Amino acid sequence: MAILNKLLGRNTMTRPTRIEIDCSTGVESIIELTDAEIAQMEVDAAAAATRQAEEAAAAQAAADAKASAQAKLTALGLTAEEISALTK
Amino acid sequence: MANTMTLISSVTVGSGGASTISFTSIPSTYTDLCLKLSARATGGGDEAAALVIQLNSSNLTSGIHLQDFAGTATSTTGVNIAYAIPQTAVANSFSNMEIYLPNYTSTNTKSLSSDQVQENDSATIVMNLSALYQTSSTAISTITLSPSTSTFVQYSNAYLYGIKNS
Repeated sequence: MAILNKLLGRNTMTRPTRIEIDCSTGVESIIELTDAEIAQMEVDAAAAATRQAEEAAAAQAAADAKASAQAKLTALGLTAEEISALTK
Repeated sequence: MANTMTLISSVTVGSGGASTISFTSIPSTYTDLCLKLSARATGGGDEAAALVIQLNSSNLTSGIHLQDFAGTATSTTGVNIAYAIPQTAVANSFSNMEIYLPNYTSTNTKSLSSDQVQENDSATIVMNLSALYQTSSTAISTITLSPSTSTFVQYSNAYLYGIKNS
């Protein structure tokens, strides 16, 4: 069957599914996602990855700026306790 | 004050995972609804694992979240119940959360409150307390849950309870 599917170009990968529970009957249905729903998931995933990368870059930039500022304060002669007091 | 709690329906995700969990045809015979969820997502980051909740197939209108990321408190806004589900978390760990929806048959704006924790190692444990609402005059008959851009893994489960005040 696998060879037949390959020859016919069939996609035998398992499709993502969603679960729907009808509370009036208790019937649980497992429904395969449509092509459009899968495509939307992929778009959303790419956008989320981009947002996460941007947030990580912003957090790193803030940490770098803080370290730089503390180094400059140290160079001016402030003690670690004095720098800590300033940043609280 | 609501004083009885009845299980309406429950689901445990099977081996194939699930992109969404939907409770449909929710009876309107209760006063409040309470949803208890234990979940883990396939997403590789917080954004991918943030929990999206829809009422009657529509997104929420607004929300605010108080979070504690491993000892650092933050506050965010948004309609997703952010960072509710572990993703790159310790193997086999799942989040705990409870979502409460009072007066779900009311014609007034629907409010929700939720609390969640990620059962992760101490370095990245997250706690989250959220308040959200949806401006809708329709009784809630469908609740849909999904990780924002990934899927629920096997053994994630959800329990929907109805609560009466009499």
